[in-house]
Amino acid sequence: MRRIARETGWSLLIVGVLTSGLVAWILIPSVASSLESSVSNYSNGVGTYFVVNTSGSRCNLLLSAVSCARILPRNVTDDFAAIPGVQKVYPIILNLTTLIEPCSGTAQNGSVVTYPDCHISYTAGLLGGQRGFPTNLLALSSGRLPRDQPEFAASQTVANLSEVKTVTITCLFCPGTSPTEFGNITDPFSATDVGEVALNPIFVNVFILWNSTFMLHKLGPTLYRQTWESNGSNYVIVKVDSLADVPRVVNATEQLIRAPQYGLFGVMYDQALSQSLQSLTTQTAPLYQLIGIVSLIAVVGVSVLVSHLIAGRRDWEAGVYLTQGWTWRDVYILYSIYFLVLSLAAFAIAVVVSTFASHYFTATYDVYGTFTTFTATVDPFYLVTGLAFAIALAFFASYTIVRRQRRMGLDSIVRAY
Amino acid sequence: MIKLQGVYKNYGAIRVLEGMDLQVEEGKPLCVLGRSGCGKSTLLKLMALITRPDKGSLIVDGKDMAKMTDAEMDSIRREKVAYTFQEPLLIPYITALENVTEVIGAPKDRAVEVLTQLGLGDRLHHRPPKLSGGEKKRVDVARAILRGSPILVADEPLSNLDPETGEKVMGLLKAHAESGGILVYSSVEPSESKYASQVVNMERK
Repeated sequence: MRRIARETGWSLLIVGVLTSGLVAWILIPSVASSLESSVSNYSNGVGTYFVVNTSGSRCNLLLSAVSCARILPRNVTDDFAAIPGVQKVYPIILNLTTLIEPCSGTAQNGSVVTYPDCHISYTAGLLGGQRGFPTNLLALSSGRLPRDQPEFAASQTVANLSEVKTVTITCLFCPGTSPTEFGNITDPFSATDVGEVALNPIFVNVFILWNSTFMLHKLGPTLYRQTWESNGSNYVIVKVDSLADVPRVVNATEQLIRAPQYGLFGVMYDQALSQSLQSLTTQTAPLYQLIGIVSLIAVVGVSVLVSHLIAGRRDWEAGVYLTQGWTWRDVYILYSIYFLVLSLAAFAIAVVVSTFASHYFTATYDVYGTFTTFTATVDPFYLVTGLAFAIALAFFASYTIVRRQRRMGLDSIVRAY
Repeated sequence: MIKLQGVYKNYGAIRVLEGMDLQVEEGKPLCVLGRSGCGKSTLLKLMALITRPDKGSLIVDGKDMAKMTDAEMDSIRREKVAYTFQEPLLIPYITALENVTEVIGAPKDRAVEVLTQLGLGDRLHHRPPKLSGGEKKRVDVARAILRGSPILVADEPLSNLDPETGEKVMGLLKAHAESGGILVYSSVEPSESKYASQVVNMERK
């Protein structure tokens, strides 16, 4: 400690250099690790889904003689499930829901005209129960799912639905029916407020799956009438094992619906997301780790250089000890203790700085058009390795100093006074 | 016994020692006399095993240093040799007393006793920058004496000392020789050779 006090300026320089290096080592890879981990978790919950729905356009290009099916038969969805890499298939029937509510428009003269009975249609799907999409896969930002319902309907919504004070569900249309034809309305059941549900905007036919864009969905205690009766599905949600499998499984699925009669159907998935998430995992995160490693190596070099400058100014001290009966090992221990104290001080400061700074390292990542914020946390692995580096550096610097002095020889060291 | 046979030592192009023969025995202090730059310190460093001869043999207790590894020479120096510098080298950030107790591990009471004997009783807790040249010299001598090594090599131990203090210092050094140790010291003053049993006069090359 007295040596540190004696060499305050140089000691502080070493602590400063070491601290900056350790902060770089602890913080940068930790940020990368946090980002990678957060995005990986997120992407595994989002990016590993795709849907097969009636968004396909090939049907319009086919000969009129070919009848385009509006329902995928059960055997086709069973084939989806058989594709290697597919974890689960959820075949769903989506229906068209029409709300009659006031709406407004702009007249030719520029005045706003209000219409009391606008027909606004949304598709609706079945949740829960045996046939609906599992409610445990739904992500709600607020509110709750209906309780005590074996299965229940939920509708795709629009952004301004929250502005509609009173919603009256008037009718439901079965798939394949004209928007002007009412479907059968039987067995009414309540669809209670389901809260704010996350929605992937690209999957426009159903709102229930994705947790990137938060859309307000407040139907209130409205009566629905159940009409989901069909031998097949017009909306299939497919869960894939991993993000890397998605392109291959999508390709295989597209092959299964290539038949002309399924021309109405198409596969929808976010290819850009899939690629960007893989890029993050394979390129961005390793780059951050590389920066951390390079920083650490640079700091090791600078620290050893500075430590040599310090020791070099007082090589004769080692000479004093050696002429008074010390061994080189004793001198090595003396230097090691000195540099160990500095290293541990630098490590302690680095931990505090990294922990503090990590709160300010937030990354915003665009997932499905939603900017999701991740906050970095200090990774214990980099703390432990940082401590190991700090300790190793103290011994390494001491070793190189003593090695240099031994090469100089005792006579030269003493004459350096 | 220390024995030099045909010892040569150069520092670069400067020839310091050329074919020197010398023998120092226990209980017979040797004084190396000569003007500055004549090679006294080099000769003393050879005998203190701080440096090696370029040529010739340096035999300490029957062992030829020329045939020893650095580690073996370090080991013999540690066990057998105490050395005082011409310019006293003290660790600047510890006190005079600590320069004795911490550097050589001497018992504190014994260190206080010797330092007091050398007139430093009131300077024990002063750091070297606060000590005069003579005081530093005495701390250095005290350190060498307290090591209790069989060979004591002192480079100009009386420089910067007044005659009274010089007597005290030489009294302690002579006591070392009288107790059977080997004492080698150097001086620029011929009168200071009076404490020695043998004198080597050196001249600048």
